[in-house]
Amino acid sequence: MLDVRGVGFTRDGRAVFQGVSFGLAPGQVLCVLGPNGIGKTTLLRCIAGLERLQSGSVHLAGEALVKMARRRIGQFVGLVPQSQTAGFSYTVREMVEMGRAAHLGLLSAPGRADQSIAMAALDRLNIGHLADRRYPELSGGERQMVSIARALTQQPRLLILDEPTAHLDFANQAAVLDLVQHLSRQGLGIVFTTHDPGHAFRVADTVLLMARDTAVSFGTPMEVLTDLSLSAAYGRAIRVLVVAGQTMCLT
Amino acid sequence: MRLWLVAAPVTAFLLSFIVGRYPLGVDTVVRVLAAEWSLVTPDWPAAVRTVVVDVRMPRILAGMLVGGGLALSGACYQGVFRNPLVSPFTLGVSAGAGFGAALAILLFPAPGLVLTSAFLFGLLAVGLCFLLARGGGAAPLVLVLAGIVVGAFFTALLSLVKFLADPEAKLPLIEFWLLGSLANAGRSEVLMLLAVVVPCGGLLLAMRWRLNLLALGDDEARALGVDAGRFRFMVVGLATLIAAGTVSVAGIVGWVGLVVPHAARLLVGADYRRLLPASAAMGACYLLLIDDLARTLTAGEMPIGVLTALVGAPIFAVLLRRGRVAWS
Repeated sequence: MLDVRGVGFTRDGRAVFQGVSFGLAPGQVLCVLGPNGIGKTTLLRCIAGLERLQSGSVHLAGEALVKMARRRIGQFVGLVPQSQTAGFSYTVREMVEMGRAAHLGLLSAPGRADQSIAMAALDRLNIGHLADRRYPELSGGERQMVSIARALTQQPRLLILDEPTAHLDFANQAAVLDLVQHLSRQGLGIVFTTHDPGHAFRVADTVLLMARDTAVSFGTPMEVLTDLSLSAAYGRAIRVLVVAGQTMCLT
Repeated sequence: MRLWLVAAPVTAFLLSFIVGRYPLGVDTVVRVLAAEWSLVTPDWPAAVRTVVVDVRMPRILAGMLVGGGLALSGACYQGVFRNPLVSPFTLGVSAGAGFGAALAILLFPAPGLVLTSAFLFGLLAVGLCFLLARGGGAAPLVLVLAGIVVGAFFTALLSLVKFLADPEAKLPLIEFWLLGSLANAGRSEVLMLLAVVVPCGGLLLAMRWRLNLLALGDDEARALGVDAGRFRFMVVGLATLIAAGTVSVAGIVGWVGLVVPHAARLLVGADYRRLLPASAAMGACYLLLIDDLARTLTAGEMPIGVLTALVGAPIFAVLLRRGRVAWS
């Protein structure tokens, strides 16, 4: 469903990444790893059509991204950005209903069916109780959850999450990873970035490790994430360990 | 809450008929209006009908359309630019229209031509802004900067026209036009306003839920499947048509498009589903009352642009002091 071929991005004459290629099938989870500033967010924005592709191609279900209308992309891809704007003082319900924009005509507003889709997304994330709260009053973690709910309200086939665990407490991090797994089992393709390679072992089918000098490796977590590759990518000795049946990484 | 959106303009509409030198009661006004649709048989002198239908009616309708249109336009401008200090005149529509009107007064002083010239030059100014801002991807701030440039350019052209105009005959006409007035609003002006404000305003009202999305920022709106740049262009286009239409009929009536949306936001909040109808209703009432003052304060006509500024600036100052010129 997602086919990325030879995508490169240059900012101010400096190559951020080059020749990135990977594919993603429905129901698969891809975890993008790499040190700060390596271009993970930029790559996600390229896939979501928010950055102009400078080289290579992105296809969504066989359709070239560059030829797709914004509305069509919005029906296909849901993006949960890293940081959310405080915005106007919309309620959580109003914020989440905005996820229906790509499915509604220019002159229409969300109807009853759209409202129940939005409410179902809130309930699914167990934040139905926040529905009537004002969005700016929420904590960072709560905003993150609202943002995910809104992306689900888009009813996308591909869900892109930029550091979905960043503002979350330990339990909520696990809950989001569980959600990622759960959604993928329902056929959603998922791409997410994280700073914890352990997350990749836990939920990802494939991993894209972005390292320095535009070196990129793609494969299963077991193949790609080794002591050697992680240490090289992050520039610090990292060990992959199995503790109580769970694979995790230590520095 | 919905009720006052209709009740206030209707009340202002009826009350405005009884204001003026020829005394009329509300009951007379209602019966004269009813007679227009043959609901009652006239039993009053013909002069009464002339005052109500031919003199006051066009002016009242023009006042409501201009006020409602400017406030609606201003609320849209503020939303798509995500900037509380933006008004319908930010992209130079008033400067362009002012120059267009002055030029027509100088060269071909027929009322219809002045109106047309003002309308077209108003649109031209905004079109130039979009051309200038294209390099910056028509980003909000770049557009506002382009508006400053284009506005300054047309203001300079206007000064040139004023300099060339005959100070005895033409210059006062230009000055009076620039100060804004509904004194010349007749049937054709009302029809022109109806033809512009109603369809454009109707479309903007129909899109009002979507206006909320632009407040989140262009990137978030795009991620939700909304082409933010194109949508902004469309909204600004419609809002500009309204602004150009109102300016070409009424002259430069400042402050309505800036202050009324803030007052409306204070009452109903930032959600465009409520804000836009509220702005339109409040703008219509506000300018109608201002024009009632303009008709009655002095024996002559007071320019409404002067009054809207005299009243609007202090209101804005109060909102500022209370920290209510905010979004939330």
